[in-house]
Amino acid sequence: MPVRSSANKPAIGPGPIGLGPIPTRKRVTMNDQAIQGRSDDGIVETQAGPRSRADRMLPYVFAGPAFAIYAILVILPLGHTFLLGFYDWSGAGPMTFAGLDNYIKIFTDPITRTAIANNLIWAVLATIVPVSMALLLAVLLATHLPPGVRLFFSTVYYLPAVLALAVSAIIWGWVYNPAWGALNTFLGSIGLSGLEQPWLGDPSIALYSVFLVNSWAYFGFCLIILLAAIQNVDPSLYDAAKLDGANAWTQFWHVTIPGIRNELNFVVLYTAIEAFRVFDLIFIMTGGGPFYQTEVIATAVYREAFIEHEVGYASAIASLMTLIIATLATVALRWRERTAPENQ
Amino acid sequence: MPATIMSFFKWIVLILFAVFAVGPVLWMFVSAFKTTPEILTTPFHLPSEWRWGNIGRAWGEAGFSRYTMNTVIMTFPAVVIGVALSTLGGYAFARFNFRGGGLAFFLLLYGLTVPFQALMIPLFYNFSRFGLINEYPGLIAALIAVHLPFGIFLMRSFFVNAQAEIADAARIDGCSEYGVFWHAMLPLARPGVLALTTILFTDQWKAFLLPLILIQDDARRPLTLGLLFLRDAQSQQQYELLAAGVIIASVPTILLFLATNRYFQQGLVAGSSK
Repeated sequence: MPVRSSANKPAIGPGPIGLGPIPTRKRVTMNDQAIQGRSDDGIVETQAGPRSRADRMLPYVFAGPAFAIYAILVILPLGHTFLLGFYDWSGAGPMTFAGLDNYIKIFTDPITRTAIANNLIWAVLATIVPVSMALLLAVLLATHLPPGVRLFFSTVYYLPAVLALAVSAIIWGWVYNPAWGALNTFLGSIGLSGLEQPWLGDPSIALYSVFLVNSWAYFGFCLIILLAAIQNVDPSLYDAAKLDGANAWTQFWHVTIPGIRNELNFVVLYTAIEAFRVFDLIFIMTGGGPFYQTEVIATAVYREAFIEHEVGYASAIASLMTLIIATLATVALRWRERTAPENQ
Repeated sequence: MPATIMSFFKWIVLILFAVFAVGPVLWMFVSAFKTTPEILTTPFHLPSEWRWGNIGRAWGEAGFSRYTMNTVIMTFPAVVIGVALSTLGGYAFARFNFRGGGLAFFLLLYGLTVPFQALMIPLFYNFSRFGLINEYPGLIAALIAVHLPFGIFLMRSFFVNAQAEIADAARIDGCSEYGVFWHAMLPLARPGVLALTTILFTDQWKAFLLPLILIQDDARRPLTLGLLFLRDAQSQQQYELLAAGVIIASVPTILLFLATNRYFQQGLVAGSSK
């Protein structure tokens, strides 16, 4: 989870992590300021006197194994992907250096361009829609309701999030089936057979059909976070607003939203990152089709790497995608930090 | 009067979204007990006769016993090791200011944004080179690695909030730093450990893309891949078996969620606000 204050701080030290030489002066501190890396002044040698060598090794012993696995299976492959992006390689045989050719191809290849455009549309919609749904329901659930009823609804809304996206994709593949799916059957039974569609087969609506499933899968998660946040807003703020004659909308806008801004910010960031890397639902429900019209960046990477055997090109697309997400996250975290103190 | 109308709309909205959330799932679950012709001709009717045996048929003839076993073999080590590493790492980053710690933490933070798609190409080719394709240890290690950033952040937030006085008291009592962690701090983080365990269990159970890349052999597919395989390979279109497979694949995580609802929600909330 994004952690306040650490995101854009410079690294404390450039030394090797976990596996490196033992620092000569180890600082063990229980002072929160120092813990959060804000200041070196708050360092307190603990009362027990100088720590033993084994004690000073503790952070390395504890964080070392986790970081080693992370370095081998995330950092190294990520670097490898960036490297491969500059080569022409079919996955076997010789690699030839290709400079920026793969990156240039991204912007000239119409299928990849469609994938990028779809991914951008998707990222915007898949952030706004589930978060808005969750906000509406959280506000409704935070009103006077018996706690049991509230728990019942939040549990029901979270249920889709417990299912694997692979399972959700299969369930909704049935719902959308043109011949016997629940949606067309339902429309037919209420006399709206004119609205029946091949929901996943029509290139102009397939992306939005899958998108609905995405909203279905993610709104419960946003709801639980936002509901808890709304319930933690100081009730006296609402009383004060009411004394000032604020109506429900004004209260929502001037008390609720500022009161939950941290959580709202987190939910938007989380949903946006998830939306950017969408893969499972599209891969299973449409496979990027019909006619590549639902292709997104991740499915394009998969297809280029493992079906077309354009490994270098696929790596370039993946690298670009990683840079976009990291940039977005950095901007969002900076913004979150810069605006945070105003509302404290 | 407007208050009554508002209340009416509130209930309508709440109930409509509840139907939206569980309707499709219930529909598929009920379909699992029908026959294929019933599913195709009377999709909204209850089964003429509840064929409970369909679950057994999916478990046996459609191979879901094997898929389930594979998912279990994949999930349990990934959860146990993942929780242990995240707890230790989260503690180190929460309570100690150590050389390299800042950089390591920064790299882990960005791990939250890394798309799997940016890892899968080198993972696939390097795993092939070392003969790790179709091998669970490789898959499990990769599953653990991509979930470490989340786990470490969650556990760190629990340890940051733990009371320092308790650790100091343990120190004065002569505990080593390891003793402080084990006897004083770890018990305080128990809710965090439980929350992380449920969340990781659900996430690993649901894993799709990493197994898709790293497991090619049908006999070793987990449930998520098995379902997809069954859907695409059906020559005789036995839809009820696919629906029964969906039940088998989703009931464990649904039950776990219902049983641990409180921890689950606490954990998600704690991770978001710290």
